[in-house]
Amino acid sequence: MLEDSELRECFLLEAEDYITILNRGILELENSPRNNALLEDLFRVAHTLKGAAALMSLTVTSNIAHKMEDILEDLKDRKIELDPNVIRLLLYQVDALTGLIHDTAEGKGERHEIEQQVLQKVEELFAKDGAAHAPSELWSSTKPIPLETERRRSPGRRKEDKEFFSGNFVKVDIRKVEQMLNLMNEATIKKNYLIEKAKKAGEIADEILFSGKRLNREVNTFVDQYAYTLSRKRNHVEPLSSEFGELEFDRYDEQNLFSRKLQEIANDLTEAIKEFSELYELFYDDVRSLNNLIKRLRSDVSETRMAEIGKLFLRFLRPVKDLAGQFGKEVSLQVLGGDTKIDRVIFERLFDPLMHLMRNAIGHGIEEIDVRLKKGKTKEGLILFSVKSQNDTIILEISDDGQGIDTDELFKESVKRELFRPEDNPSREELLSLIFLPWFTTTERVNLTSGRGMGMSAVRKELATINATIDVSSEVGKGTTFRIRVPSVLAIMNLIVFSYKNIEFEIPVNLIEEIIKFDSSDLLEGSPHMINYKGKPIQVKSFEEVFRSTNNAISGQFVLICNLSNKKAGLIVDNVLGQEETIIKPLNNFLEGLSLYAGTTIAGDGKVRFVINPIIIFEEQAYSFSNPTLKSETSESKIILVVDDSLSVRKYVSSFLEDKQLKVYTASNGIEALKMLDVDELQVDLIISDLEMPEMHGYELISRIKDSARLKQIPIVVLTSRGTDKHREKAMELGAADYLIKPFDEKALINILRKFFLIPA
Amino acid sequence: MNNEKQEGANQDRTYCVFKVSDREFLLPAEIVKEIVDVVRIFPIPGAPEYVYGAFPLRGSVTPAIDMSKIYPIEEPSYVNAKLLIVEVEKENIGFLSETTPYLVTFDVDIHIEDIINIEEFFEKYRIKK
Repeated sequence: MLEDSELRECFLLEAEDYITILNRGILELENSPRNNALLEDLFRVAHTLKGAAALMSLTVTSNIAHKMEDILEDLKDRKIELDPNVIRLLLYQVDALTGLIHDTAEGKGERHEIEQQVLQKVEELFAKDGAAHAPSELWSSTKPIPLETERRRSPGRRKEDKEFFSGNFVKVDIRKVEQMLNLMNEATIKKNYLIEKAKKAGEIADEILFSGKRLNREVNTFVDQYAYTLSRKRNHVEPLSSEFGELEFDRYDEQNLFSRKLQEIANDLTEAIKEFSELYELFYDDVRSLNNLIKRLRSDVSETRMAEIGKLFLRFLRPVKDLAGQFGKEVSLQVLGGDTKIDRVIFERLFDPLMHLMRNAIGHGIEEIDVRLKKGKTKEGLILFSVKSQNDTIILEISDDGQGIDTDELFKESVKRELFRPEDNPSREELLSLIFLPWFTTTERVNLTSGRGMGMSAVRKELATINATIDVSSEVGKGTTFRIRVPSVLAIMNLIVFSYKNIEFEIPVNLIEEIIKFDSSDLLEGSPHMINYKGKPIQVKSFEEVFRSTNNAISGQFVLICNLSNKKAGLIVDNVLGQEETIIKPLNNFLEGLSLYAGTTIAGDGKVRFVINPIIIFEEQAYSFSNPTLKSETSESKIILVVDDSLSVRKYVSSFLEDKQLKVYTASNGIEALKMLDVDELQVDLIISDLEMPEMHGYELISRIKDSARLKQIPIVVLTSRGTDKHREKAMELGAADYLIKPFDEKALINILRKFFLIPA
Repeated sequence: MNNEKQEGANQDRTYCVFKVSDREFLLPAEIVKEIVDVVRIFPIPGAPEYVYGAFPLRGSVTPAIDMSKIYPIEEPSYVNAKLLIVEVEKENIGFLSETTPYLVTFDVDIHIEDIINIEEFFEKYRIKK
């Protein structure tokens, strides 16, 4: 259960806002008494405050807010007129509320006499035939709780409580926090990159140190040998110097000098390397402590955006009550582990999916009262939210003690949809996973959705956008449990880097169960898209198939076993390159439709990688049969048949057309062209034909095509070196749509393509 | 009406001209935030051909648009290409240009083809769900 102190803290933060709004609003009301929108706002605020206070069992606060709500409603409905007395009454109430909230902040109980005072004032004001004519002296001593003295009077209690109203809280725009967090994340990536480089530098330093030592050793050996010995060679090489023979004992030859110079340099070098090595140690220590500082700073900054998940559940209290009422059921809501912290962005995104699950639980899970009693259950149904945190993942469970999901019904429905054959014997788990398929949103019969809001497939999809997964377990008669796994921090995540055809991608670690080696012999015989994983057949897909349907044999070295709703599936990739901790940035809104990507990352070295979303890859595309990204690639490609006896013309024209994203077929004469059109039933959007060709010339081709009922719609453009009007007229007469003269002008051809809508105008 | 037209006639508008193969496109200069050199553009498998790829721009992954895949233009060479960064819908997109873009000024009344209306462009070509 939520702890009282935490609930109170939420309440106090919230209440402070409401008081501010009320104070400001009421004063504004004085200037614009007929401002209905404002009245509406104030009414809502009073209402919310009432609810929140009631939740905290602050009956006095709640009652006063309730009274205020009444007055505001009457004002709204013009049952009473707004005059200065009413304004004063409202302000009096706000003051009373402020005092009460302040008491609560100090950990004191509510003073019941305040309620009496307020009610008395209200009665006094409205007693006189509903008109507001209170004697003005009534209001002179109205401040029921002198805040300043109150605060001074009661020392002690929890420090944090006292700090609440004394300015130790700073309100910060959430966008500012967002911005700081973004910068923090950028800094983290740079820092990770720096550490990586520092480690590399360390390795190089070690190498230099090693080589330096070796060099020094070698030089020393060399010097020992040659620094002071006389070289006999020298005499032989330079016989002239024998004249100074008696001096030779006092001189060192070049070799001696060189070897000693070498030793000096080697010593300097060793010294420098030693110094560098020491410096590097210090530097690396600094980098490491910087690393820790940044980590701490980041966690502190992210903390400001973290919210206790229990607060989210507070928002469900009211809807649960209302919904239960609507269905004539009694439901209580219990929360376990509400103090678990979660990123506020995730927190917000969880609301709708959870609301949907709750609706299902109340509408369809929990039975009517009499049914429950008959089954020997308690009259009141129970919805239990339990939250626990595991590493960076938060596991949310929503259980009801209702009737559970009838898998026999699911089986019947799926047989009807040909997902299973009647003789199949799918496991309960397999059947339960069906509720996440899109078509289940439309079936009321199986009693899984309440028929409003989103379906389970939408719940799953929504959760996928925050890299959360959902699965379900259910026992008939006992209840249903949905389990959501969601990363506790949205921005920074651990990702696996993998490559396919030398392009690098990433996938969140929390979605991966295991990475295993792949060999094409692992594919099950007869079902080329299945492998055995831990004794169970699971679906696999090569990364290539994600982008296009292909008949290529599945290839790749690794299988990423992904955790999906109630099942696992394997993505086959070329290479697994490692893991990195980084920020996932949402897709640029120009690219938003590429739903197979959950976002992008920028590595420390500036490399951009796309983060894939396995949930979409395996589930959405598999069942919706439409891939928006592929559509845009292929839908526009029109087909052109080029008929010309010259190979170079065919080549030139085709490459020109292919550049324009057109699909081109070629034929070298009329016969061949007709065969393609007639026998092979090639569907083309335009024919470009020469006139003079062997076997069958262009005129005949045109007239044959125009004679055919099936083909005559196809526009034919003549491309010829015959520039005279005579030829042109003949071709047009036969039904050619246009006439181009070789060597053709590219612009003219483009104009023709535009004319026939083969390329955008 | 007449008045408006006359007022407009005195207004000049500056455009940023960029080149893709033999074709020139114009963007209103005030929406071009900056022009950057192409360093590295990363492919986006699954995206339509006119999205040449994506590149990092001050911490954001920004798409690069290849106009030659939208209009019938000869294969351009983006060897020393520039990117015109344009803000639309609060995010950036980049247009690839073969050469360094330059500015021209026209009277607003002069009708010029190939002026890109960025909002329309965005709506038409952004990848929809």
